[in-house]
Amino acid sequence: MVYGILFFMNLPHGDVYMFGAYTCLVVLWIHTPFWIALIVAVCLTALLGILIEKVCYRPLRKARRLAPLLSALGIVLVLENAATIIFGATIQPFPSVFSEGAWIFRGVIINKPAIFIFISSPILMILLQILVYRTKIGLQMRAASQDSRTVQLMGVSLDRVVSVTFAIGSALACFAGVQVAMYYRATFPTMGFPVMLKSFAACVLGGIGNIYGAMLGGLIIGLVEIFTASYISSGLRDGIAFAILVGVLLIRPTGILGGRAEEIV
Amino acid sequence: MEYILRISKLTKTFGGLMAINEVSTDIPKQNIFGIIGPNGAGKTTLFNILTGIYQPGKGQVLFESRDITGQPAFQIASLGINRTFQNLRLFKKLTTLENVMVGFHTSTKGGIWDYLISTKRAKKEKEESIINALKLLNYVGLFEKHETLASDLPYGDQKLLEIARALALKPKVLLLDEPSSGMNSSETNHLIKLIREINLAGVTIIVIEHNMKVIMAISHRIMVIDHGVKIAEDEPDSIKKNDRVIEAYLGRG
Amino acid sequence: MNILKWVRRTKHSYQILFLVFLFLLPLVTPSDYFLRLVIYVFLYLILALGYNVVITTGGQFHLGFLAFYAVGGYTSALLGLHFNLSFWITMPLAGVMAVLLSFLLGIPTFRFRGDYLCIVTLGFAEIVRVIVLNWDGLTNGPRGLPGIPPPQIFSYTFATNAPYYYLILIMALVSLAVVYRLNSSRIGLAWAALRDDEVAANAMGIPTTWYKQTCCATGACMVAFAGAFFAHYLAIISPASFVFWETLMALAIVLLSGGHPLGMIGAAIVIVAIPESMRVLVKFRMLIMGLFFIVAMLYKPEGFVFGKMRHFSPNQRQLDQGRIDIALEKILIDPRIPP
Repeated sequence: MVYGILFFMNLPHGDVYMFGAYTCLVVLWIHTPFWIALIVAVCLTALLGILIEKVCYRPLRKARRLAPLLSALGIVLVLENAATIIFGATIQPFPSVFSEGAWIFRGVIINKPAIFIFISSPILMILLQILVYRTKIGLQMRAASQDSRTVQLMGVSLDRVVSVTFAIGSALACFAGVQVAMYYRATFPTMGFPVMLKSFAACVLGGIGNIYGAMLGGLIIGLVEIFTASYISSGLRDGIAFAILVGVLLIRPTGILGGRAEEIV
Repeated sequence: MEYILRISKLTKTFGGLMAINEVSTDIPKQNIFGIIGPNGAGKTTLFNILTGIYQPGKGQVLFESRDITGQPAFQIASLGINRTFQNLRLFKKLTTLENVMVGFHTSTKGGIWDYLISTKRAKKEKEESIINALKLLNYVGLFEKHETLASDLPYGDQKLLEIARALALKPKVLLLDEPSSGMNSSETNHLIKLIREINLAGVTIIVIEHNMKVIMAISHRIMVIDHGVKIAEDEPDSIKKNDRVIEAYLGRG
Repeated sequence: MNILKWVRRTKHSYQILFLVFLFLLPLVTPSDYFLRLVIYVFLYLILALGYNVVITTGGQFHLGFLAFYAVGGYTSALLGLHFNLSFWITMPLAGVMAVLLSFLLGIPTFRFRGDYLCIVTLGFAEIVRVIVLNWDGLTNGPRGLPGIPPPQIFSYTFATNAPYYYLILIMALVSLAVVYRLNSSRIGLAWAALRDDEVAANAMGIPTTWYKQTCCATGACMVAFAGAFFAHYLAIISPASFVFWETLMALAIVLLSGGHPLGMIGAAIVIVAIPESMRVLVKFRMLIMGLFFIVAMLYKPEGFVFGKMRHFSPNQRQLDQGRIDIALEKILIDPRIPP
C-alpha cells in the first residue's frame, strides 16, 4: 500500500512487525488477557507507523527519491538495536496464549495458535478489502496511488491518506508479528528483516499497488517456501521466494495481477 | 522529385483503438512538411513510429530508399532522422551544454578504454564535441546559458534547447513536435526564422503544429490527419479552403 | 621556508601534500589498528564508488550489487586456493567473472524500470547468496574458505598491514581516477542521459540497453576487485560477510555523499568511524549511526555534496571558439573545427 502511493520501499516495515510482537510480549508479561494485549499492541504499532512517517518521511517528500531510503535505513538500525539493548539479542520466549491441546488431522498436528492464524488471517484480508474498496478513505488511497498530485487538487489531504496507510500497514504488520511469535513461541530483534524482504517480493509478485496481488503473492511465496523446505532442501528456502519472483516477472513483467502501467511517450 | 521519406499504409493499434489507419505519404527532400489535425488525431503516434519508438502494426517506412520499418529508436536516430518532443524530454539534471553534447554521441566513436587512458582520439573527440555544442548553442541563442541546468531554463529556451540537441545529431530529417506551443509571438517569429534557416541548410523538416500562422508560413506542403486517417494533403493555400479540413476542426453545422 | 612558498605557488599543492601524507601514513600511524581502519575506509570507498556508477550516474536502482562483491571475493579465493595462481592474476580474473555475471544477469533484468528493477536485482543477489551458501562442493557452504594465500610481489609475501594498505590506497586512487575519467567522457554522459530520460536517450542514438549493461558491468568490476582484496586481506571468506547489510552500508555512503566521489571519502570515513569510535558503547553504536542517518537526511536531504558535479565544463579557449558565429551548414555537415 505504501509503495503504491509513495513509490517508496518502507524498509522499517519488518521492524515494525517486530515491534508489534515485542509490544504484545511486554503487555503479556504484566498478565493481561491476550485479547487486550493484542489490541494494545496493534494500536501502539499503528501509532509507531504514523510517527515514523511524520517525522522521517514527510519532510523528505520533496527531496530526491533516494533520500528517504537513508532515513529508512536509520530507522531500521534504531529499532533493531533498541530492541537488542532492551531485550537482548537472543530469543525471548513468547508465552503460550491458548490452552494446551491440539487436534490431529490425518497425521498433521494442528494446534490452537494455528487455528487462530487460519481464522484471523482471512478475516483480516476481508476487512482490508472492504476498507480499500468500499470506504471513502479506501477510495482516496486508491486514487492517491494512481495520481498523488491530482488527488490533492480534488480536496483530498494527502497527508491524512498517507498517515492512514501507514497506520493500517503497521497494524497489519503488528498482527502478523504476534501471529508468528505466538506460533513459534519466540521473538527476537532481527525477526523483521528477512520477512520484510520477502514481503516486498510478495508485493511485486502480485503486482505493485495491487492489494489482491499482494495477498496472492504472499500466499504463493509462503506455500512455495514451505514446500521447498520440506521436499527439496531447507537451505534453499530463503532463495526460493526470489527465484519465483524473478521467474514470474520474466513472464509477466507487471506481476501476476498486473500493477503499474507503462508510461506513454 | 527525390523523396527522402516514403510512408506507405502505416497502421498502429493500441488495444481496441486504431491510432493510425493506413496513412501513406511521400516527403520530398528538403521540404518543410507540415502535419496538422485535431487533438488526438494520431500525429505524435506517427512521429513515434517514424522514429522507432513504436513498432507499426502494418505498413512500411522507406528512408532514402532503405526500409527502416520496425528498427529500434537508437538506430533510426543514428541514420539521420531526429526529433523533438511535444512535452519536452530534456535531460533535466544535465546542463544546457551537456544536453546538446549528448547529441554528439553518435558522431563520436571512443570507447571506455579510450577515455580511461585518455588517448589522442578521446581528447580530440571531446574537444570537438564541446566546441561544436557551443557553436550550436550560439546559433540558437542559448550560448550564455550553457552552464545552466536544463530544468532551470525558461520554457521557451527549453524548446530551443531541444531543437539544438536534435541538430547535434546532424539530421537529414528533423521532426518537430509542436515546437511553438507555449511560445509568445516574438519567440514564435524567432522559431519560424530558425526553421527556415535549418531547412535552407539542407535539412528536411516535418512539423506537427496547432498554430496555423506558423504552419501556413513555413510549410511547402501540409498533410491533415483526423482520427488516424489522412483526410487531405496539399499546398497550404488549398488546405485552408478544403471543406473536409474545416469540418474536422470546426465540426459540422 | 621553501616549502611554504612552493605550496602557495603550485596549483593543487594541497592535494599533492595530502597524497604524500597518505603514502607516508604507515610510518606515522599511531597504531596498527588505526591502519586497519583506514584500509577499511578505502575498501568501502571503492565499494561505494562502484555502486555509485550504477546508481547515481546510471540511475539504475540496483539492489543486488553485493552479488558481485561476493563473486569477486570467491573467484579470487578459489583460483588462489585450487590453482595456486598469484593474486595479481586472480584479481583481474575476479573482475572478468563479475563482468560476465553482470551481463548475464542484465539480460533479463534491464527490461524492468526503476521500481521493479530494485526487487529483481535484490532477488538475483539473494539467489546468488543462497547458491553460495548451499553449494558445498564449490564454496564450502557456510563454513567458508579459510587459508586464502596472501599476495606476493616476487619473493615478498604480504605480511603486515602496511603492504595491504598501499595496495588498497593505489586501488582507491585508481578507482577515483576511473570514475572521474568516465564521468567526463561521452560514455558517462550517455549513462547520465539514460538515467534522466531513457526514451529521449534512445532518440539521441544511444542504445540504452547496451549502455545499461556497460554501466552495471563497470560498477561490478570495481566492486569485484574490492571483493578480491577483501578475501585475501582477511585470508578467509564466508557467506557471513556478504549479507544484505553490506549493500545497505555501501548505499548509505552513496546517499550520504550525494553521489559526489569526493564526498564519498567523507561518507566512508563516517561509516567506518562511527561504529569503531564507539567501541566503548558497544551496544549503542549502531543505534547512534541510525539516528545519525535520520538526522542527516532531515537536515541535508541531498547529501553532503561538495559543489556541483558537472560532466563537462568548457574552458575559456573553448568558449572563445564556440562564440564565433558560423553558418549552420558548417556545423551540420563538416564536424572538423577550422584550424
